Amino acid sequence: MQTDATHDQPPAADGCIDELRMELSPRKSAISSLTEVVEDFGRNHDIPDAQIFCINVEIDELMTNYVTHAYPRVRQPRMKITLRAFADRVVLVIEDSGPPFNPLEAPEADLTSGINERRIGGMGLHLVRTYPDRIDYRCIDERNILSLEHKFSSSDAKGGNA
Amino acid sequence: MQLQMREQRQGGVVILAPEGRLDSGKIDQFDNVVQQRIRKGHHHLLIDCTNLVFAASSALRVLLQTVRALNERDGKLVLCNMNPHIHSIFETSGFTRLMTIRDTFEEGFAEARPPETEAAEPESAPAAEETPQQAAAAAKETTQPREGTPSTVFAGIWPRTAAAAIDAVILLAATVLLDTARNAAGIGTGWSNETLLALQAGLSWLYFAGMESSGGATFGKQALQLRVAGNDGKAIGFARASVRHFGKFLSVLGAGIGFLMIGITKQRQGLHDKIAGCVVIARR
Repeated sequence: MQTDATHDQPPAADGCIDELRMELSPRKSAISSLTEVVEDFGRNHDIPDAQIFCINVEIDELMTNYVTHAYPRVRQPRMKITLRAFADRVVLVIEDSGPPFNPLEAPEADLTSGINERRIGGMGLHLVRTYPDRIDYRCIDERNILSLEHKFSSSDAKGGNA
Repeated sequence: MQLQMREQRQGGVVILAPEGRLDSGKIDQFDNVVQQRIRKGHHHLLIDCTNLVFAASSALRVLLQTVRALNERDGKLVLCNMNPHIHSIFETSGFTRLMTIRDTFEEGFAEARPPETEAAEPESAPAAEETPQQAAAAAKETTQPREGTPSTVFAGIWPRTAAAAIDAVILLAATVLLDTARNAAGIGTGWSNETLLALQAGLSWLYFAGMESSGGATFGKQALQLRVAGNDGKAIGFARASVRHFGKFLSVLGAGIGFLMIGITKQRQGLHDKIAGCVVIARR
């Protein structure tokens, strides 16, 4: 875990082509419209569908997690979602006002048990930890800032349709 | 935003085709529909993911619970036509080993089909012998996506108050009529007020418990399209309807808090509903 007293945002982003910022009060019902906005952003910057899909899963999981666990303990639930497009990668930054929560330290999910023994908890965070190529978590002034980077080669960008 | 879902029944298989985004904001709606089908005895499900573009781990949770429930009932859940992104969630979570996933609708349908003997249940028999391919084609021709069968809607205080008012008027009218008839016939002219009150209580018991156990609704509830059912959604018997009826006396006590519970409980249950294990469902 890193802490950085001088910046609330991750280090200056060189080569960032475009940035999308959204701030909202987290609700599960907001997920559908958020994922649509993210898909538009991906299309506009030729980001492959696979990376955009992963980002949407991460937004869904983190927002659901926040609503389930942090919501009751936070006076003003806010979440900032920033998406940065680069030529070869896309970065999702999720910043929330919840109690300190480091997804990298969350217990491992059960991936191997059979149908009746399988524990379902932690599957969402497993996806959040598995999909990105680089994860950075910091906790600053009672805010969690999670940065999830997804690399792609520009040849994936075209024809990446499902 | 609502989840759009097509539904077909074919050869003993319930085919559910959710469309668009099955994210965590919509998963409860999907879950409700699936659970309701299982409660109604449909134990062979095919989830056709052709038009599904998004799902998250909340969908895995629902599917896992559904497979467990169906295993207990000798049923089967099969998924088909998943796009590679959605498939990646199943792979990353180790779910490809737990779920039956097929590439095409035809393979999925064949896998989901109950054994021949079971396929003879009346409601699963298709009206005409259609192949699944024809059925799928027919479904795709529908330009306007059909809304998924709505999940159970529990009736709130206002429609139920309105239904109760109608019932009160009917009961009052019936009492007056019976009284007039009784006087005209010269029966029980010397009956005490207590006896008359007891008769009236008996009448309202028979009215409520009788009608709610046969068809689920009094005239008032019929007018408001409401129906009383057990927690499992099935019709209730006379005994349970009676418990619910007399439970209302408890609901009246304490300034009617037992009735006001309807406004705050998740399944819109008053104290008398809770006691009898009942819910009041709105037909749509």
